[in-house]
Amino acid sequence: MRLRVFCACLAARASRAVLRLLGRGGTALPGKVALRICPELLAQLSRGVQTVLITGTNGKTTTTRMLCAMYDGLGLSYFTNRSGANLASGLAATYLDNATLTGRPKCARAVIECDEGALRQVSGRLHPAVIVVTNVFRDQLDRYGEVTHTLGSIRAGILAAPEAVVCLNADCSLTASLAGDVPNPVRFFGLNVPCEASAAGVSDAPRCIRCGGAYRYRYHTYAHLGGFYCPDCGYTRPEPDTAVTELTALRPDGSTARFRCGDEEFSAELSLPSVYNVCNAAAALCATGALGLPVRRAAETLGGVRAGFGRMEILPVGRHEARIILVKNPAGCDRALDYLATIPGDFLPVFCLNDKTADGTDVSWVWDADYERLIARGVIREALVYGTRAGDMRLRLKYAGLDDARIRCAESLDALMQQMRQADKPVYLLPNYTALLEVRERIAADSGSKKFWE
Amino acid sequence: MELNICHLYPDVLNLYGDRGNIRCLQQRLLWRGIGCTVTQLPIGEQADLSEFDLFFIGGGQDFEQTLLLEDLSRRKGADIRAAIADGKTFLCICGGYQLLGHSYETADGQTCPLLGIVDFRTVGSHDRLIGNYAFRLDEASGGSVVIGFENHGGRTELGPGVAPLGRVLAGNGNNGRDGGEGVRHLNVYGSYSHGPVLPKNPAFCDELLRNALTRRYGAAELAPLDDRAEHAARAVLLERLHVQE
Repeated sequence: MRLRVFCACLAARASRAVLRLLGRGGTALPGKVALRICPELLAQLSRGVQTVLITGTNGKTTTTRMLCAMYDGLGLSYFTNRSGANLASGLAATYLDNATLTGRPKCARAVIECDEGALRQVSGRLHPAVIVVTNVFRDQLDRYGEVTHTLGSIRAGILAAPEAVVCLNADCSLTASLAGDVPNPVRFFGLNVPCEASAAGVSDAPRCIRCGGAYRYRYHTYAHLGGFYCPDCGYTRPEPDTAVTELTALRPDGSTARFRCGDEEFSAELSLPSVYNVCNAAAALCATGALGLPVRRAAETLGGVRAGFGRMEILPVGRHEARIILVKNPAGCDRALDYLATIPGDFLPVFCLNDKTADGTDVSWVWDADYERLIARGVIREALVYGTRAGDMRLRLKYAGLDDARIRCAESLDALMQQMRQADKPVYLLPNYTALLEVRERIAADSGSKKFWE
Repeated sequence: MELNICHLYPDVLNLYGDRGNIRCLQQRLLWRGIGCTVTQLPIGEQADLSEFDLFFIGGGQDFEQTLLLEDLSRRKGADIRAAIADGKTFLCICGGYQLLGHSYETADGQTCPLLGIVDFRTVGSHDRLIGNYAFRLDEASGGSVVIGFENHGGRTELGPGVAPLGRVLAGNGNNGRDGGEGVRHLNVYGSYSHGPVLPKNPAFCDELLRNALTRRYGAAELAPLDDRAEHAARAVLLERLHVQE
C-alpha cells in the first residue's frame, strides 16, 4: 500500500512537471494518473486533514474563496483547489500537492470545491468535517439529467460521510429536503428577508419534493429560493442557524448585510456584489460556525474577498475595465442580468455562448433566462455576441425585444477583443464555461494577468 | 385578427427553454400587428379549451410527469381530446408529444397508459438519444427543414397509417431506426425537438400560426418578416450537420 502511494505521488509529480514545462495548467491530469495507480489515494492523503467540501449547482467557487478568506483572516493555514478542478481527479491532484512523497499531508486543513456529481465518489474517502450544499438548480440537463438526479447524487455523497456536519441552504426546497434523508448533524443558512416581489421566470422546483403539492411562498429571494411551504404535507423552510436578517445595501461594487449566527448578530461588508454573494457568505459563515471558529471575526474578512476566476472578476480591456460573470444556467444567468440592471450609466454587455462538451451541447437554457426583463428596462443600448452559438444568442436577444440592428456578432476572438477595446464604456462579459476559458485567457494575456492555476 | 394561445402545464412541462416557443409565436404575431393572448393552465386549473386557437405542451422531468397523469385523468385529458378532434392547432414537444400516444413503457418494463389520442406507442430506454439533429417537414406541414436538439430515452413507433411530422436528415428522430420524426395528426404537430424549436425555424413557426389563423378565420396571409438573424443561426447548424435547405 505504501509503495503504491509513493508511486502514485511520484507519477503525479512527474506528469505535473511535464505539463508546466509545456506551459499548460495541469490541474487534473496528475490526479488522474495517480488515481489510476492507487485508487485509495484520497483516503491516504486526507488522513488527519480537516476537510470542508463545498458542493451545489451555483456558488461553489465563490463560497470556497470566501471560506479561504475567513481562514486567512483567522490566521489558519489550509490548502484549496483554487483553479476549480473539482472532479475526483482534480481533488486528487490538490491533495497530492499537499502531500510528501510518502503521502503524509503537509497542512491539516482543506477547503475543497467539489462537483455535485463527483461528491459521491470522494466524500467517503475524504471523511470531511463539513459538507456545504449551496443550492440545486437545473444545470446542463444533457449531462446531469434532472434536478432530482442531481439531488440524489448529493444525497449519496452525504450518506457516504455520515459523520460530517452538513450545512444546507434553507431557502432551497430541494437542498433543505436533504436534512430529512441523512443521519448527519445539520445546520441551515439562508436569507430571512425578501429580495423580489414575486418569483420571475421558470421555477426549477414548483412542486413539493415530498408530496407533489404546489409550494406557496411567504416571500421570495430569487428563482425558487425563499420562504417556501407546502400546504398539503407541511414541508416548510427550516429556520436557519446562520441567517441574513437585513440586506442593508446592494451596490454595483459590493453589499452590506446583517447576519445572525446563533446568539451573535452583526453587520458585514461584502466586496463582491449581488444578493447571491450574500447567500454564499451565509454558507461560508455557516461552515465556520460548524467548525467552532469565531464567526464574527470571520465575517470581517468578507470585505476583502477578491473575485474568483470569472466570478465578478475585473480585468482591464483597452482603456476600460471588463467585469466577467460566468453564466452557465438560467438561475445564475438571471442573477447576472439583475446585476446588469443596477449598473449606472452606459455599458457594453457581451454575451458569449459556446456549446462544447464542457458547456453542455444543449444551449437551449438561454431561453429560460429572463433577458426580457433586462431589455424591458431599456438599459441596453447595444450588445455584442460571440461564441460557437453566437447566432442563437443573437436570436435570444432579438426575441427578448432587443432590435436586431443593435446586436453585433464578433466572428472571431480577434474581432471580439478589438470591439471590446474600442468600446468607449465599461464592458460586462457574460460567458459560459469554455467561452470564459477562451476569452479570459486572451484578456489576461493582453493585460499580463495571472494564469488560472496561479 | 388575433390568436388565443394556451400553454398547458407550464408548471411541470417546462424543460429547458420550452417557453421560448411561446415567446416566438407571440413575437411573430406581434411583429405582424396580429393580436395575441397567452393563458397558462397549470396542474389543477380548468378552463374552457374551446376559447383557445393554439395549444403548446412541452417536455418535463419524470418526477413531475406522475403528477401530470393524475391531473389528465380528472378532466383535462378529455378536454384535450375534444379540442384536437375539433381541429385546434397543437404543438407538442417531447413528453407533451409522448402523452398523446397509447402508452409509455419504461426501461424497467412498467407500462404507463397515456391519452391514446393518436395511434402510437413509446418504449423507454436507458440509452438516451441526445444531440443536434435536423428533419424535413412533410409537405402537409410546409416542407421546410427544421433544426432542433433531441434528448429522449423513449423510442416512438407510429401505428400503421399515422404520418410522421417529417423525415430525419441528421440525428435520430422517433426511434433512430425508421427515419420518421414526430407525428402529424389533424392539426397536431408532435416532435422530439425540445428547447425551443421555433426561434431557429421561422418557417415552422409560421406554419403553426397560419394553421391556427386559417382554422379561426378561414384563410390567413402572413406578411414576410426580416429573418436574417434566424437564417444566420440556422446556417451554422446546417453546415455542422451537413444538411441543405
